[in-house]
Amino acid sequence: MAVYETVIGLEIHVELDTKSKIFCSCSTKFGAEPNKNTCPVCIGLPGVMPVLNEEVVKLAVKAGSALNCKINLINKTDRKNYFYPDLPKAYQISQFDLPICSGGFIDLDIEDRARKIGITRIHIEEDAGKLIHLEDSEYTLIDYNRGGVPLIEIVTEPDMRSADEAVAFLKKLRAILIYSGISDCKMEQGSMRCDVNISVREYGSQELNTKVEIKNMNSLKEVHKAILKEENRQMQFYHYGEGHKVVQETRRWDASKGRTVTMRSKEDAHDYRYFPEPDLPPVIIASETAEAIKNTLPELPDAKRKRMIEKYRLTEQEVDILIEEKYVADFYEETVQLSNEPKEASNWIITEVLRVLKTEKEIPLTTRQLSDLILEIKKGTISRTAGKEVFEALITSEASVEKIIAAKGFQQISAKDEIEAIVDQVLSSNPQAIEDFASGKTQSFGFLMGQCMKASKGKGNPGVVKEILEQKLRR
Amino acid sequence: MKVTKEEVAYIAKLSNLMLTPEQAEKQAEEFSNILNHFDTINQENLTGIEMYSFEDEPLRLRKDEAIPFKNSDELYANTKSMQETAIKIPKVVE
Ligand SMILES: [Zn+2]
Repeated sequence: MAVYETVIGLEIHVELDTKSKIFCSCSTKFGAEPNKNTCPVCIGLPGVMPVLNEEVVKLAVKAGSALNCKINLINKTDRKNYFYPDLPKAYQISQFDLPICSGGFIDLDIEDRARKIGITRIHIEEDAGKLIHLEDSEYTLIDYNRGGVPLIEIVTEPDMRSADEAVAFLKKLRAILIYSGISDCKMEQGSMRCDVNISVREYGSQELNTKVEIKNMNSLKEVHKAILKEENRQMQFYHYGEGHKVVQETRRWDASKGRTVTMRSKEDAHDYRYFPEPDLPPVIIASETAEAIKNTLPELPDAKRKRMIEKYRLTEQEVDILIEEKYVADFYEETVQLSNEPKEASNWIITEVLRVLKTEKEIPLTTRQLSDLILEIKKGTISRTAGKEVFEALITSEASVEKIIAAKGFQQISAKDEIEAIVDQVLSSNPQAIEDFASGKTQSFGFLMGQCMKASKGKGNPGVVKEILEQKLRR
Repeated sequence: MKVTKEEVAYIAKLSNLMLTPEQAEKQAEEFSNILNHFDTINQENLTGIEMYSFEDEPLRLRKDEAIPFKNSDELYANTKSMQETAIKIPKVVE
């Protein structure tokens, strides 16, 4: 039986993090009232002229630099023509034969196997408006707020071989773009969207078989599911000698039904009749400008990972978890700076903060609060168990750690004279246990320890109690 | 370069244009003339000429500032049908 492999290439649209649109000064803010952020330019009224936003050039060059691309110092815009109500001009300003960046790559590390995924090109373009299809209504509503929002489209080589690899690539790409401040990459808000090109061939073959494009995926989980489903659909055809039934087409992922469905086949595929945009001059970037932009790149995930492993002596797994989201990594490093406790900070963030983040959108406490908590436990003011309760309280409170500990009465008793008094009292009322201990029954130590903790109402610092109890029994 | 009537019909379809056979014929001829003109331009010897030199006219870019459009009330004055601030059109489904 033949063994098959999947060949995957991705096209990723990312909204750039600018204040204004690509060719006009309308705001790019998400969530405004429909058509509030529009003007004659972005709704394509006759006679208007586009003017390119300098930040778009900057962010696209930054993206190219972060993804190891060549920056094309001479590039140009083109019109991509098609009719659809989300596109008021009936053409989208994009880039065709001279994109702003080309030929980059991302290094992936999948189960300790190094993989290099090629990036064909990155081009700048304007986003289209949004159509709202109301259920049970004979109307469609149009909101042009998104029209003219700047995008980069990142096109990869067909270098991925599985759903896992595609998702690993997207995760890494997302991290790099967020780290460099290029986009917030919020998939659920559509600021990062992904088309998947997928074909299947016999393992070892160098040929590319007919590919199918799955459009507009907006969650990593769905991308993963859709690839598994689609590769299986195609493999079934090849396996039963019906390879001709795999036709070049665009399919849509139906998340509710868990399968891909045909959107349009090749026969009515769009012929976009690209031609150079006559309203905009070529984009010419001075090489010093490109170099200066490259130098503004912050530390990227790979470099951060390496540094954090060395500097904080954490395991690779710990660092991988901490750096997956930039704001978590930043939170970690700030907490360490305040507390000087890299291991403890990592433990608290991985077990407690990330648990809370499964249901919360933001980290619900400050780095000051967390570092104070870590330090109070270290000092022995409170026990570790009480610390967890203080953490829960911090989630819903802006109060200082000190205040919460006081309010809850969690202070541990560490003062030696106080503990001595408790130990003395316990010993005087348990002469039998002392005798047992003296005759070699070591388990009676545990009993006495328990009695002391009980007498301190659980607040005795266990380390100090043990030390004093041992001293007294050995006397 | 000769443009056929069939090619004109195809482009017309993509452009949502209706052309009578006579108009298509005329368009085919005009397109051919335009493309021939480009062929003529193409014969120009351009060796040694910097294609993208715009030193006298540096690239003009816009600062990234959000400025709301003032006359937004009139922007949709000619729109036939609105629901609140959204444009209402007959249902389109891809
Ligand atoms: Zn606008």
